[in-house]
Amino acid sequence: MTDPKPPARRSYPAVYERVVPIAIGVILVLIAVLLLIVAGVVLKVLPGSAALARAW
Amino acid sequence: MNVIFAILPFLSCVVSFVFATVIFRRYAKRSGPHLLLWGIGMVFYGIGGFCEAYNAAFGWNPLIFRLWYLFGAMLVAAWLGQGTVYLLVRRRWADILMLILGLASLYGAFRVFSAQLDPSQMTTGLHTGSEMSGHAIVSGGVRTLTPFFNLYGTLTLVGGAVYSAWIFWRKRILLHRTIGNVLIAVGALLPAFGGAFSRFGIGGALYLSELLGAILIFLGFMRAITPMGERR
Repeated sequence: MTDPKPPARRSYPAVYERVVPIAIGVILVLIAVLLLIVAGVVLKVLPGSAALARAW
Repeated sequence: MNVIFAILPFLSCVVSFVFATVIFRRYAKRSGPHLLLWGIGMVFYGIGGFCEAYNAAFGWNPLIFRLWYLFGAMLVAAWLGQGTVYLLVRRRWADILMLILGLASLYGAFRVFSAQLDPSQMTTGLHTGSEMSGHAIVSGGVRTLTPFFNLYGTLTLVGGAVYSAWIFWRKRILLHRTIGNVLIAVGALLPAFGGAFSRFGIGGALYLSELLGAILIFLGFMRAITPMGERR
């Protein structure tokens, strides 16, 4: 008698297994940087006016 | 006139309107408020690009400037993000946020179209004059509104795309949607950074980032709606 096999874990192709979490991490870091820039401009620490009229 | 300041936003305009057409055609088949709002958002994106190209090619026009500021600088991100909100949030909350966004947009339109303008302000400081700049608005309190729209839009559009990508990746399902959402998130971030770089005096950064952003969001959307092979 053999042990029942555990259900096969779904997986993406290897390249996506590596790239996707890195990409998500980088995007989260960029969001944090963007928020810091916004805060810097609003607080007048960075160049630009208090209104981020051209953030987009 | 710097030709590149006309060509880049014109290309953004073309990409945006083509993309909006694709979204509206999908909306006609499947309906869904997220598709309608994304379509409207890409029309806003296209209007912004058109106004930037017009300004670089033909010079100052107050109507073009007001249209650019309202649709291209103030509303586009928020309306695109609101589409994502309809995908990820309970319908009741999404409707409430939509009502707030609609009223805020009407107020923003009123303020933009009643603002006093001074085009000479666009050529002072870091800007060249070929690039559009909110500095031309001299009435107080108008530009102060814009960060609220853009923060809401960027966080919902980028945050929603990242959240969706993470959920699909964690479950290892729907690879095409994982990839699509990553592309959408990057594409949506680009114009925000372009605006920041432009503010720091890097000429053309905004227009280039808007074009690349429109292309990446378009590619991401097409990837997300086109299934690809998955393996276990």
